[in-house]
Amino acid sequence: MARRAATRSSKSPAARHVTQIELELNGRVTRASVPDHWTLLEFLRKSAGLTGAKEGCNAGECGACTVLLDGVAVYACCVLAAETSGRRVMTIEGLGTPERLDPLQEAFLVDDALQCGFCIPGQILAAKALLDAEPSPDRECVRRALSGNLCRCGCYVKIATAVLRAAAIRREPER
Amino acid sequence: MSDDCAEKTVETELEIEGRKVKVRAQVERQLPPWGKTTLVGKSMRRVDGPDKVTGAARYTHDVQLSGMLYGKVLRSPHARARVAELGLSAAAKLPGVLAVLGPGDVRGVRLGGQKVLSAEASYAGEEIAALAATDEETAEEALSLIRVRWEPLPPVLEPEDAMAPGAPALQPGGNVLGGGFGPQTPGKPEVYERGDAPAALAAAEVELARVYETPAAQHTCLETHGAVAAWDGDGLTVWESTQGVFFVRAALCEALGLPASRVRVLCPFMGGGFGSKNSADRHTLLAALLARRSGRPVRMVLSRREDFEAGAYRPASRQQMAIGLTRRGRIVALTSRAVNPVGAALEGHYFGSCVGPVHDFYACANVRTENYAILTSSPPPSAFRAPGHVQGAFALEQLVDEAADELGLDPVRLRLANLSANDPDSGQPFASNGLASCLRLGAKAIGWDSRKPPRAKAGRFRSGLGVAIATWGAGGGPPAVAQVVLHEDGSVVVLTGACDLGTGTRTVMTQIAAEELGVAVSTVLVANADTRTTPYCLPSFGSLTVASTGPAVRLAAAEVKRQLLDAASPILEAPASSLLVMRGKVRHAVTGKSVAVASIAASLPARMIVGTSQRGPNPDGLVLASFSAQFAQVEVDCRFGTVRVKRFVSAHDCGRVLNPATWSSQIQGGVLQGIGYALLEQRTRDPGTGRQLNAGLLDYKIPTAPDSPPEIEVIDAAPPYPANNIGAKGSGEPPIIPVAAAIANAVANATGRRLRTAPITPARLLAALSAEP
Repeated sequence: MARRAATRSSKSPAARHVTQIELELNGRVTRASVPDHWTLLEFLRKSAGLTGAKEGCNAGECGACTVLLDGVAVYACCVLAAETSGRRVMTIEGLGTPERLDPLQEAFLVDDALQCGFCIPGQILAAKALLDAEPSPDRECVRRALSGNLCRCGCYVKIATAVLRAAAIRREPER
Repeated sequence: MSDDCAEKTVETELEIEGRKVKVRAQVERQLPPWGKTTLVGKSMRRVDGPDKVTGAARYTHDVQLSGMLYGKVLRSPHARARVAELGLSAAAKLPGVLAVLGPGDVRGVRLGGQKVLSAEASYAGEEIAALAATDEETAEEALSLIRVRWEPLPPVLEPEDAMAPGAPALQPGGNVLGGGFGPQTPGKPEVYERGDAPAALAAAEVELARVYETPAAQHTCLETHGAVAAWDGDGLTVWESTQGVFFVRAALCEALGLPASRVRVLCPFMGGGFGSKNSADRHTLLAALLARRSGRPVRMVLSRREDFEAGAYRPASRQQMAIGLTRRGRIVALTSRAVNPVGAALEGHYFGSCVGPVHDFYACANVRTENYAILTSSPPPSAFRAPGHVQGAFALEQLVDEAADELGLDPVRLRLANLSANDPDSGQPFASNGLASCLRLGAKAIGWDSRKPPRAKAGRFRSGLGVAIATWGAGGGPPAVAQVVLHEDGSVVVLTGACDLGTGTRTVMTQIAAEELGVAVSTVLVANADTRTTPYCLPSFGSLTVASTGPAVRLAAAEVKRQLLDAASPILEAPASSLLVMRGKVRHAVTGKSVAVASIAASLPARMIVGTSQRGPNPDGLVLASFSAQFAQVEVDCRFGTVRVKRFVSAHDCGRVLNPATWSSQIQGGVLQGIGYALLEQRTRDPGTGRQLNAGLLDYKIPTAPDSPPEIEVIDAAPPYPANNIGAKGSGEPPIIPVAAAIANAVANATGRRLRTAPITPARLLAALSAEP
């Protein structure tokens, strides 16, 4: 026990290894030095000041930290920050702003597809990954695609409706 | 308080989570109910929706303060143990650790009468020591340096063991307590009696006795419990993921000996509560104490595992029920003997009474219930969305269905025939009661007439329909104070202490204020849940927020309007009584001459109008309850024992629906949690050690999107409700109450087999299917 503790103590914060990363974060080239063991979620929340991705479990079980990595929906708690160098990361903050909402965000508001809102950034980004890959999903497809994003307030019916609405908006020719 | 003021207060009754309490209320000006409304009753978008869909909403988890430390807790790995020796010095010496606390450091601190750190663990997960460090990794490492010499004691895990002669006493008064809440006589159950149930049961033409069991179910808020505490001199600011900032403040003031004026508690956004976040918890106190010791802000957020292991839950129950009926289906007797294992609960813990439905649901002259709360070596439970009623309805609403089967009567008709015109408990009339409409409209929507008996079904996939009902005291009441401020430019701020749990409180209060004032919703901002700036109210629990705070907001807005019209009167050269406010203008009712609200406010010496009002008393002699009838259509896969909820209809009487969009979201959410309770959720523990085996979201399974029915139809079956000035009752809890029973009844209709233990897992269902019917 004592020996294990001593070994661990040698990894005091100052002595921990850090890695320089350079990634495209919400459309901007971002450089940072991050501890090797930090997840992408820790980097986003503690260092990049982006708290839209939530920590619901830190174990890849709830989906509240879902972000897009090179356009693919990933759990940010299951990706090391160091792995993201040279890649594109989009968080909810990069999707739209209250003044200029993405069709998905707009649809979630129209259909009231949210309650407490804690899971919503993850739900929206998981839905974006789906619609980018499959522009015309049916309801069952949406439900399956979002099955990795828990919502304890129980908004699943309206979330699926909102995603289908957003898909229709995105298919409109002027877009 | 002056005599004048005292004369204007009266005693009134308020029902919170199934408990009726007497409170004083100030008699306020009466407002007639709204006639035609333009904003209230419309599906207005959530005012905080844009913040939530863009990630701009800041939850307690997201609070970042300069110099903030990360707090962590050492918890007992043993379900029952004494700490013989606690060595904190190695942890304290680790660079980056700025404060360490053991039980000896917090001897005088009490939270609801309990220690915040204990040298005697009464459950696995109980808080033993706490520390704060500059980063999470250092805090974790410091925890591993704490040396504990444990003296484990044999845990008492099951209620039968706790009640057995010679069982170790977990509390000085013994392990048996009465009932679900309130001060109780040790050793005695809580007994309720009306009429003579044993005699009526013995004399009944038909009698059924059945036993039902429900699991310990956990709230599983997506935002785990957490607080961030910061001191400024002798003043304390706490961000807490809570349902009630004033209860958190009161607990902090009591524990720390601080005046209310020096403690500020805020909760701008919170990620789910469901009854588990009604007040401060030990983590709150520990954050404040570590922050005081270190001189730095401290963030204390529970990990998902901690949230499960040490967190709250709906207690399990074992309910021995009996029902007596006439052959024609009139219920003449109901009895229940309920046993609820409640872990390390003490007085002050509230977890609801599972016998409530037996008292409340049906017109039955002879009722007897006996309710035991049994202490075990497990964490204390808490309120969880309709505490008590969910487990009680699972039992009663199946029992009623079993009686219908026995008598060959239709379950909907049997229920309709036994509904009570008056509150069955008190005999007093309901202020409004739409339960029969809920049953009729719901039955029509689900296609009840097409329901077939189980014998008509065969094959692997079998479909069934089920029904169950709920009543729930949801009339709200005082205390709830609201303030409405009209600023010089015509913009309006509504101040309320109410937390918005995601139910739409902010949005609905915006609608109420804008409706009453006659201004656009875009000019109204609701600022809420900040003990420094917003007025008092109870937590958002007991389905009471809308019915408590709503009428206060309307009164405060009406007071602002009164002052506004008085100020407009000389400008428009007309008496105030001839003026009204429409679309941001004060207008003469006949001539149409008008002046903008903004220019009136700007012309005032004070440059603002402030209206403060409080919730008045509830009407005497009327019982205030919301009602629900729910219908499930399931498909049972008889090969794999799985149940799919294919359709669900949820019909409600909760008075006037103020915002159909946010309301139906809340109803659907309650249904989803009920589906989880019926089919998926149960805390499981190692029978030897008492440690939780499924303290994670993969193993404690809450519903996912595919577990939801594709649609959940929500029906408003409310008659007019006259008992408060907005015409609304509460709707937070009724939607979960009957869901599990409706599903179990549908499974029985599909298969001919009764599943009397929740959740209805494939193992249980396959066992039932393979047994003789």
